[in-house]
Amino acid sequence: MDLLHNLVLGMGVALSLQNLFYALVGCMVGTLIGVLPGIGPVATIAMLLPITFHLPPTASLIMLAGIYYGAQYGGSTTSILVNLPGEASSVVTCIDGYQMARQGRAGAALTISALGSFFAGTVGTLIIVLFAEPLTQMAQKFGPADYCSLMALGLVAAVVLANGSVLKAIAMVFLGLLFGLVGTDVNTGAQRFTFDIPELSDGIDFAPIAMGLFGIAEIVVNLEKKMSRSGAIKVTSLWPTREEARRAWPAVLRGTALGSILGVLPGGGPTLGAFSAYTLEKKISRTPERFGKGAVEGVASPESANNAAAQTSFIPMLTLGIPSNAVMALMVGAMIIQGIQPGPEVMTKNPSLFWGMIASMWIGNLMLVVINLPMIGMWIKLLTVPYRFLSPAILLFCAIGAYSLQNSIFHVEQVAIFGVLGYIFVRLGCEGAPFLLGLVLGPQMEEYFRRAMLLSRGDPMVFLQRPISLGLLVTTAILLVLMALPNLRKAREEAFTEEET
Amino acid sequence: MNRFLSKDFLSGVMFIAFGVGALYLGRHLAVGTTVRMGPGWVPHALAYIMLLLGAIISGTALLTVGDQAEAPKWKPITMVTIGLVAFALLLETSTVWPVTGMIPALIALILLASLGGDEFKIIEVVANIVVLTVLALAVFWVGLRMNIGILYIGSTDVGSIVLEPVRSAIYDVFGLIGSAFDYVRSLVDSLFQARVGVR
Repeated sequence: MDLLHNLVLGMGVALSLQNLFYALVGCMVGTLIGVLPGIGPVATIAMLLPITFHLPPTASLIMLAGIYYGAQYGGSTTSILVNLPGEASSVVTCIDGYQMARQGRAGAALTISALGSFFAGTVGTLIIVLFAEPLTQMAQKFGPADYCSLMALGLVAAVVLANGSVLKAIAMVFLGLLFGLVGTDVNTGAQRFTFDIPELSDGIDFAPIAMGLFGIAEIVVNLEKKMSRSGAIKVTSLWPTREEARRAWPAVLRGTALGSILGVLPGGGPTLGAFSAYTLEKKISRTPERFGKGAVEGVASPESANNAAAQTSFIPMLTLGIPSNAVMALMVGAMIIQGIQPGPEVMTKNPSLFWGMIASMWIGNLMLVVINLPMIGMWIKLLTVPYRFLSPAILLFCAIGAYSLQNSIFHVEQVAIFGVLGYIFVRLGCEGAPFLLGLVLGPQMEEYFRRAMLLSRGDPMVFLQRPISLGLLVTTAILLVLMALPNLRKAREEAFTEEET
Repeated sequence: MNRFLSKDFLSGVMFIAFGVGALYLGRHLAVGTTVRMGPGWVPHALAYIMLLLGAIISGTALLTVGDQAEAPKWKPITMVTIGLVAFALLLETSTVWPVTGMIPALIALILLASLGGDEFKIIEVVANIVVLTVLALAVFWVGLRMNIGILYIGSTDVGSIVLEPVRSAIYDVFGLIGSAFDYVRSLVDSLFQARVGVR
């Protein structure tokens, strides 16, 4: 029973005082930023990246993971009580959740979404446990050409599912790859784009870029908007009625299944999971007219789906080292900061980190139910804190955090520069996520590409001759062709305009 | 409606600018051959792709009607950037200005950033500074044991000298809690192993 042995090992790691503490910190911070509209998990994890530099690897990854899935729990609270999405993945929860709250069923909606999320989180964690080992073994058969093609597929798929213009998103991927080149060339030792600045010879540090592009740019955009806060609805009883429970549990099952699948896909993740789950519920319901008027299924299914997807999106990152969305790109960055090269070797070289992190996810989910249900009153109070108190706090954490990476003020200046760049990206409607994926994968992709070309004596056909590589490239090509088809493009645009409203 | 000010046209221009910049800055990097790629092969390839994509994006933007780029609001982005630079300059001891360290730097950052928002009440900002000073000290200096100057007057860190006893007292308390937890856990572990016989 290898699996059982691994789980026991993981539980042992996850239940140490230190790791329990950081799981709790992660879940608390995640719930906090989930509840607060305007700060998402991407900005928060970017902001906390430098802090993880001072923590042991396992503790830091446990904390960052906690923030990510914690935000999925917290986001639903704001959606249900204030009709404002606390998180992008909770947008659809507003529709029926807020209607339930107006009918005095706020407590039931909160309980169903928390318990549904817990169930989905448990299933998601189990799926990671089951799939981690086979996938890792498969990945170990990959040669340099296969890896290069796999990364190409990951990047293209992420673009296809990203918001907005595909062409711009592809250009952002390439821009990210370009920024990833900064530093010393591994093969020849030549300095590339370093401007003779010694700090740049090891490459641009990932953390200041992430903080600038996501943290600073998000603060500035929020400062420009006038944020109005409406009052939250009072919560009375937390218990759902028998009828509500009967309707909710099949929806939870469906949401969990759909979310788990969509989470694994490159470019997928909680937001996509939640939207698809809501659409599915509405389609298969015998009474679709109840949706939008407080249907329990409309809360249960998307809330389970976003949590399941948040868990399963760890699978490609943990087993293949390929991030499927911006948060996973940040997790890869956090691993690199700790000196761990993400990929199939993590499981064999750092089994305690690997299984400890997975075990902590389940413990974290358990903590979140407690954090979210009995302590709901505290989070509602937090909603009344105006944004002008939060933005200086975020800025300060970014500034001190960047400095703490190497005790150098150059990193703080980098945050400022990338903040301006990130602001320009937002103004021009260019997504930051594809850029980040390109940046993280860039150096590895170049290495695999050059190694593959060296092995094939400069023949690019090597990418088509290896069956694994060919299969991956064909999938990539199909995705690109599908994107160009007018029908699909229209459907995709509709899905995104729905998301924005 | 000015097509030269649409979001897409301007982003195309931005991508072209990055491509040109990469070609210029990477002009001395050897390209090499496809068998033995030099350090410049991939940078050049990426730069040309940027030029191509930028041209396509800008070109199509001129032919279609797209979203206009909004005029940026200068105040928030300027104040935030100035705040970060001021923070960087005030953090380490300098010959120009005698009072430096984390506390003066964070005061400057919070003050400037608050000026970038649309509501500015001095009492709130002062309260924010006090709360965030305590929080920053607790998280970075106590929690993460970071080496950071608190409050330099000249070149002596007065802040660290005053606060150091507080920090070590906090560590003592946490050390006690930790050893208590370890004791309880070892008890639970031994019970568990005796019952189930795992490992």
